[in-house]
Amino acid sequence: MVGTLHVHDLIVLRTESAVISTQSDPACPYLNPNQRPWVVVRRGRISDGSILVGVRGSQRHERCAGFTRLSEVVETRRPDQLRLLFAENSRRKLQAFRTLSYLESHLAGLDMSWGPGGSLGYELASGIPAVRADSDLDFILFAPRKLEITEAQDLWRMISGAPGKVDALVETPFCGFSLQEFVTTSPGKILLRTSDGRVLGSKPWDLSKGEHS
Amino acid sequence: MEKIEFNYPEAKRLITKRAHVGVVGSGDMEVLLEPNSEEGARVFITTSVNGFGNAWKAVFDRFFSKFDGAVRIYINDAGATPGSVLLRLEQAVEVIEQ
Repeated sequence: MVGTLHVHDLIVLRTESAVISTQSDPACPYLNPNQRPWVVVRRGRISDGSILVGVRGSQRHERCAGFTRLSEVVETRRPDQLRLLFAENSRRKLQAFRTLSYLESHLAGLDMSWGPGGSLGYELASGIPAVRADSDLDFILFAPRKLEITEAQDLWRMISGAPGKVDALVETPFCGFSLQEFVTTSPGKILLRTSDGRVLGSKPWDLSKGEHS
Repeated sequence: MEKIEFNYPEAKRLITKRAHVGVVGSGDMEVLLEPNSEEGARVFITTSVNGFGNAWKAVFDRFFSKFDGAVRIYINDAGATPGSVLLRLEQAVEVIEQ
């Protein structure tokens, strides 16, 4: 039983051949048959029992987009279930892990859930080394309610004090957007990543009411 | 990391404003658009994803088929999709044409 899946969730598939590539080759070549096939849920609509997934190989350029059947999913990890304590001790001196440690101590009182994505989330979920010395930390904040601009500014100021670069994405029930852009551009239009594609807009918590421009 | 440059000598309309939109984050890019002191337009791209020179060329050929401003465009790209590139360019143009 896997429950409802969302963008950024990391999932294990029954077999590494369960991913159908949406790019040129029919198969995603980067999953190592000697490792459990962990992939990440990509943004997009779940239709007809299929979900969009992203595959990460051992090299930086080894990325592949595809889809898989929900019935192939055997295990899931949400970003807010991933914390530094899952990391190997030998990896914790890397900048992205030190940045995660900083965020864990500074976000302790936050009333919204959050977690790491990108290479760090993948490594914490799968145990497969993916973080590099120069990796940023992809930070995902789940914000079911509207974030006031002052609240977002305080959060961004705190994040900017982290030891490494943080790429902070806010997920509302309707779309994802960059916290940095929200703080620097709001109330102007920002890039909203929706299940139907990317649009410029200024109401990330109100997309259902029809603002698409 | 790859650096790419394009020239569009036919884009001669005088532009007086400057725009700075977007962010350097996964799948996105930052665009700085400013008046060019020389005639024509120039594009300077720094991208984290190598090997997409032809895709960038196609995007800017399309962009400059409609836009004729004499500008310098600086792009700092972190893997934006072609669709996002066009959205960010449209956003920058909206700022300078206001």
